[in-house]
Amino acid sequence: MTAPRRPAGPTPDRGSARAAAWLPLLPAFLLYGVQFVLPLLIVAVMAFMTSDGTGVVRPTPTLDNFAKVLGDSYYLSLVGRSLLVALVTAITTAIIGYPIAWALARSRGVWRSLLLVAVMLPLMTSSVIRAFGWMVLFAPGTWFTTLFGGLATETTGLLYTFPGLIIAMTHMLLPMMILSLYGVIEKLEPSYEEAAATLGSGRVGRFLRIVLPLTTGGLVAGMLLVFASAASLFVTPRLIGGPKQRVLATEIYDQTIMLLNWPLASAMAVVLLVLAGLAGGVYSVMMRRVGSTR
Amino acid sequence: MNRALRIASRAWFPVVVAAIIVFLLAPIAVIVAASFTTSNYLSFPPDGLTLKWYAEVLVDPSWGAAVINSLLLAISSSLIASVVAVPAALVLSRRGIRAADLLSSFLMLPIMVPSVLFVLGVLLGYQLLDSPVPVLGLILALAVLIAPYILRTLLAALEELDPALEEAAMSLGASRLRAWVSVVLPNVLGAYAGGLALAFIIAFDELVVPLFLAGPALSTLPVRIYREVAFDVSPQIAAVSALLVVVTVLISTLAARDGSATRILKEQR
Repeated sequence: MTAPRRPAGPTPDRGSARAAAWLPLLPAFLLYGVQFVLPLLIVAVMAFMTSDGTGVVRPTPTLDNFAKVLGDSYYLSLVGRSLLVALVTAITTAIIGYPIAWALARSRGVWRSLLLVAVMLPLMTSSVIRAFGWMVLFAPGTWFTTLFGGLATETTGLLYTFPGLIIAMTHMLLPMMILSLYGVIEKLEPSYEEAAATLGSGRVGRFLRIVLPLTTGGLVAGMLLVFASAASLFVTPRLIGGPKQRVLATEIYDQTIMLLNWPLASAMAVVLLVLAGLAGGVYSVMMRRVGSTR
Repeated sequence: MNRALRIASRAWFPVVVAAIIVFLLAPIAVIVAASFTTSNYLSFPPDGLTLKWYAEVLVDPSWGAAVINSLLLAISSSLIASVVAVPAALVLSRRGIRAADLLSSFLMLPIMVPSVLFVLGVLLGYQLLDSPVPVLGLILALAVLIAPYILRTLLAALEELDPALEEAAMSLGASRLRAWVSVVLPNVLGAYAGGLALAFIIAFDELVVPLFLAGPALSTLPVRIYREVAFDVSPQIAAVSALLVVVTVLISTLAARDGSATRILKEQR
């Protein structure tokens, strides 16, 4: 005998129980409200205020800050470089990350442990120290710099050059890409590849026709994540790019801390958010679509 | 000829993988190697071997102070992030909460939003109040930054957990709180430890948040290393960095012992 189902509608005493069920979220709402939502609102409002010299803000609404960031050729070059660095890094991490992610998902034993260390160690090491390591390797005359001969300059080696910045950025975000790819490759049944192999398909054919199409989702998701992170990374452009390869993130710091032009810094931060947000928005829409087809 | 070609076509993939492993480890290995150099400037490969830079670092009290600052900030912000993330994860993992997906996406936002942005907002907020940023403001900003990592690890573990466990406890008379504390939480403790270790390391290594929010009086280890490196690279900084790498390796191996590393691998997606 089956018990009659209870009506689904809320009854009075369930209403208060429902309210109590939300109570555990209170600390999260408090912290995020004060330290995340409010600061973002302040930046959004500040971006439309007028700057009266260093450290003085007049509450007169203006669009001048955005006009400067998107109109002035100097600031526009920073926006352009941020975009370019993010785009190129997304591509290089995808190309270099794929073989490692595949090897990580398919290897066993010693190789797997070695690969795990190679991926986790940079991930866990402070970004300042990783940038520092590249500063040493990029000096003129080191084996690494001679490897890239034509791209390096005589006085600073690969330091303060665009290729140097891309190499260091790729290193910084490669673990993120590898983990994103590892997730999809690991779920792929090796039997697909085996079936293709018994049907006479070579390594390259197997990769292009089977593995790549079935992991495109993870690849694109990883590239979007890397793009968003690369656009907003501060340490690497600061130490490796230096004064010659300025980007939005480093300029925001200078305008905030050194020049005290807070409205302009805020406007640049909003532009940065839009750049990173575009990638993030596409990412979350994609994730939702992938989730719904599962 | 044919055989040589076949060997070459089999060998290229391991060679590529090995080259990428070298690329991944090179900058870290270089710092560790250069920290033993006997010359007064950084050189790789090092000129001779000495431990004098380590000795210099260990007797310099300003480095010790920076380490303690970083530790205290990382510990307190991890605690606050836990207070925020653990109850939130318990609620959001329950089936039948309509807005759960939307809310978890919102709580994950600090990972996606450039940290420069909300840190700038925090700084400007205190400027509006005409006050320097208090240490608590710095701790709370770090907590927002790392809470998503604890939340994500816990949510994933809770979703894998059989809901029948909690139902069984409650049908045997346990309150929801009791069921959470004595049945659900012990089952996800490993995942929590993994998320906490990751959050702790991120808070300890964070540069941008303390660079914007901490005054010159409060120097954390990454900020101190950053300021020195931006000014001049020296074997002493290499020794400090090498020590930090060793500590990080120790923490991640400890966290990896119960398989959290593999779990982190899976959840980074």
